[in-house]
Amino acid sequence: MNIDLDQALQTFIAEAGELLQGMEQSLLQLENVPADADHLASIFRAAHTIKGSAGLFGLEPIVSFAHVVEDVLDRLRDGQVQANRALIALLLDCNDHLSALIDVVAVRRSAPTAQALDHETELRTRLDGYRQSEPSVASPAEPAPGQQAWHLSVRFGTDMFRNGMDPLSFLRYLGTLGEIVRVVTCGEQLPAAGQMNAESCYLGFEIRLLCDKDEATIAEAFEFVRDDCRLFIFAPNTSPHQYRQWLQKMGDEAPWLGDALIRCGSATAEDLREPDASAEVTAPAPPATATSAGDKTAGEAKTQRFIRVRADQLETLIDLAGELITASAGAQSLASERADEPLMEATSVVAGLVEQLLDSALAMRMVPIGDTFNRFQRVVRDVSGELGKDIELLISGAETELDKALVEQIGDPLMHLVRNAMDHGIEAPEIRIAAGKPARGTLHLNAFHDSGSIVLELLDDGAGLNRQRILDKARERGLVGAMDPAEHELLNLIFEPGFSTAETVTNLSGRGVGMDVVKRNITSLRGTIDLFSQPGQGTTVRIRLPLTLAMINGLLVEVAGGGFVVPLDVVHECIELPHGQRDLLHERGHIDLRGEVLPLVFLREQLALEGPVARRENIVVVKAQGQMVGLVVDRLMGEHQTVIKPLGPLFGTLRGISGSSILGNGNVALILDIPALIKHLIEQDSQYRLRSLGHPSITHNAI
Amino acid sequence: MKVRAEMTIYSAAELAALWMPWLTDAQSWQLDLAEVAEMDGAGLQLLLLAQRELTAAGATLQLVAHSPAVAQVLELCHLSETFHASH
Repeated sequence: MNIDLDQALQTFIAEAGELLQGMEQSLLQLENVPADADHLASIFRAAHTIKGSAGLFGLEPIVSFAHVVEDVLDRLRDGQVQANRALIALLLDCNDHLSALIDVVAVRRSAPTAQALDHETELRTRLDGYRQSEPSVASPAEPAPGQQAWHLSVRFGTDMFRNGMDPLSFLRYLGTLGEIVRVVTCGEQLPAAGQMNAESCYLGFEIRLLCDKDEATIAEAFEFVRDDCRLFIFAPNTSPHQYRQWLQKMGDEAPWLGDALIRCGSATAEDLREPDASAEVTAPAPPATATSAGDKTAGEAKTQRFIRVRADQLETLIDLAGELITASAGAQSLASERADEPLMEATSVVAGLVEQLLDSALAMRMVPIGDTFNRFQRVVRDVSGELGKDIELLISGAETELDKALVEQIGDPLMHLVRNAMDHGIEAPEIRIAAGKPARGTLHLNAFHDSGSIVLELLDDGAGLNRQRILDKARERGLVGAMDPAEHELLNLIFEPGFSTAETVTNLSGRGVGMDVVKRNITSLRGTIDLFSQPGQGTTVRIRLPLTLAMINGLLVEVAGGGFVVPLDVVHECIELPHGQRDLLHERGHIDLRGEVLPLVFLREQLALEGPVARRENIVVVKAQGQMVGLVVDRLMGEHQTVIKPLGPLFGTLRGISGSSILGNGNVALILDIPALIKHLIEQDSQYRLRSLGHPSITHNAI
Repeated sequence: MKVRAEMTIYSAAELAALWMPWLTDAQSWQLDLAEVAEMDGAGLQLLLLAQRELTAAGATLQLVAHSPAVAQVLELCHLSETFHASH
């Protein structure tokens, strides 16, 4: 039975979560700009909406608490109470409590625990300090026995009859659940006579039902038409205020519905009159009412612009669009084989459209990173308080977009890094002042696009990493030999499992669990993580992630008869390998590119491919990880856009290849993971140098 | 006017086509539904539409007789008074 209800409830839960998150953001902003009307309005709206929707679901504990919060917010909005640090801290607590309540009451469908109720009582007492003396309107959920009067509002979908249903049968069924006190049959949706389709359904009912069943049972009556009708169920104790809210939401239909409510006896004309005349004790000044109404419509317009789509449906769409690209490429090559001009033209139009289709399907999955970043405002505020440090979080590049799947998975690693930076990176105020730095520490989260990937940076202006301590620790653990490792390698040792340089273990970090997990998470997303640190000036953590895990725009090249895709974003230019100099260049390992040294990687050797050397070869100049490299390939086959097919788990350890793709002619092309390839080469190279053996740049390892 | 068929989704389109031309005339209807053996939502909404249109045109719709099936539907939807049913 719960499953039926769940559908709508899930929407409520998701929306409430977003609203609370938005409310938290606005509260934090309010801390800086105490009287910002926009933020005040949006906070109020959030609490108000949660209260209203929770009421629709009969989630009394939420309604009752949200009501108290809303009350204080209302006074805040009207300027009767001033926002200060204490009040905002209290409201943040209330925000947390609301989301806890939603978790318990709406998600788990159980009653709040005694502990939560104690906490709530405490919050209520504190809130009361900011409220006008007003009799408590909200009453806790009462298990009133016996028959109660519900109000149902239902409008059936136009296809009712065609689906073999009759609205009247629902009415008859409701009659078996309890006593139907009053029905108002609503034909207001009946179109003008000429436009009426006698086989479409335009009916609806407003029903006052006396019964002893719960909401789920009543809702179940409409189960067969759930997706095809608009149903509102009002619990017996729905307040006039909630009806008013509902009417407001219904827009144009409000007069009709209000009339029906009155005729049903579910509400009186008095109840439905505008609030400033009746129940509301704190009557807002007329201009305030006007703005709030304006805000409401603006807010609603905003929500209407979005629809929720299941992620796996989107996945399927993207997959299909990817297959379409392959299929249309096949058609195109057939057309060109036949040299059929009109057909070629037609297929190229199709190909163009298919590409656009894929682009827009992919764009649907892209979301700005800002929401993820903003979540950290609260973390920074709370943790800095806990640590007795004064830390400010700056955010830039919030509009940078990346794949939703990545956004979801990057939150936890980032959280760990942020906490780590606050705990160990930024010093206590006294130490900072002694070091000649401002007492207030700064954390900076930054994001930007760079050659086909997104870069997330976390910069702090703290003490930086203590090299000596890392080295000592590494020796103690036997991670490095007697020789000092290079700077870069040394810093990255902290990503090794069980490595912590903190002298004190706090409850936040320092146990050495985490950095290795962070690194593993990032790596599993095909990303890299790097550390840079200036002693006394701070640390930068740089995470580089692919924009999307689904799609690649590449340059198709041929090496020894096999196809390879080089991601187009890393390709700088293509040049021809000077004729007759192959052996010389092969031995030297680099070429003079307009006066710069360009290291060369001969893919044929690097990938241990067999087959005769082509007569002519080309160099694809790529840049990744700040390093330019020339890839020597046989043939350039042009641009190729493709959906990445992940390699099976069997190839999980393969470095340098990130996936495969199917070409229009059915052949498989491997996608080169250039950053990993270059990184691999650099690592090999430095090992090479350490052992001071042979020539550095040509490595014959098969990957 | 007398309706001899049932007033359900199966006959609604036919009935609507029959009624529509007359709805714009400001002429009051006296509808005899005594022989309507069955009535569902589709029949009901047609009745509602006819009444609305006629009222708008300045006329009235009166049910002069109705079968038990019709009476039951009107009862269910609390519409008996609306149609001034008289036996």
